[in-house]
Amino acid sequence: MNAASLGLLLVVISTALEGFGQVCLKKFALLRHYRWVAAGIASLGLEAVLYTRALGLLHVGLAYAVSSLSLVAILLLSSWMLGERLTARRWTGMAFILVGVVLLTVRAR
Amino acid sequence: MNPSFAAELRPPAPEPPKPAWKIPPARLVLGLLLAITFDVGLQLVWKSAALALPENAAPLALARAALSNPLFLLVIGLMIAQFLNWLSVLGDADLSYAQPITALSYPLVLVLSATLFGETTDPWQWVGVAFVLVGVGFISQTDHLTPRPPQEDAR
Repeated sequence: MNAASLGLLLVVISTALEGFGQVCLKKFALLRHYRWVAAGIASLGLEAVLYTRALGLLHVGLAYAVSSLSLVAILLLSSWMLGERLTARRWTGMAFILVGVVLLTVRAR
Repeated sequence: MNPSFAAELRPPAPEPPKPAWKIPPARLVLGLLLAITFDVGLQLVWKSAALALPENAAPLALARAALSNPLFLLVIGLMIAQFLNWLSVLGDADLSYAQPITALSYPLVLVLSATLFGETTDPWQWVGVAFVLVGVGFISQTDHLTPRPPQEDAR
């Protein structure tokens, strides 16, 4: 695996952690249970370590744009864990983001 | 005909159409603008800090190098500011509404990273970012708060 592919993989993993961490913070905002804020901080902390490593391997403009996958993770997880609505517009938005990330990574590898 | 009976027969007046999109409160708008500013600043400082780290160092040496680097301390400061602002934003809006709006920082980071770090940008990257922004547009054209049942609010 070359440096760019490893960097992209790290960014993708960090987006999943970002999604989970953000949903935990929203849970805390709603319920004020401190276990949610602890889980959120732990998840975002691990994401920070992986993303720092990715930034050493990729351009920040590319790494940050690919991290938009976290929006997809957030929408799916907030629907599953928070009961937020997944409307047709949100599905369409997710499809556009996925196509955008594929286009971003076409030349990166 | 009895006037009250005639009034009952009259069809009810049509309700005014509900707006498809509500203007968010000023506090939420300010919070979202701050979130975008923190996002862009954080990415640029973070990249500078990552470049200053030694390559192929052991994890402990890497952590020591990071904690002794003022840029990483600034990264942590920006993360804390972003976190506190974000908690306030989440108190006012759905996560799935607020998060996509802050994605406006993607093209800003792309432009500033090319300017500040001399990063090369590919036309495909701009097409990709354009797709991401269209996706963000679709997602953010929804109401800012999902109505919740009363029993959940009471908890």
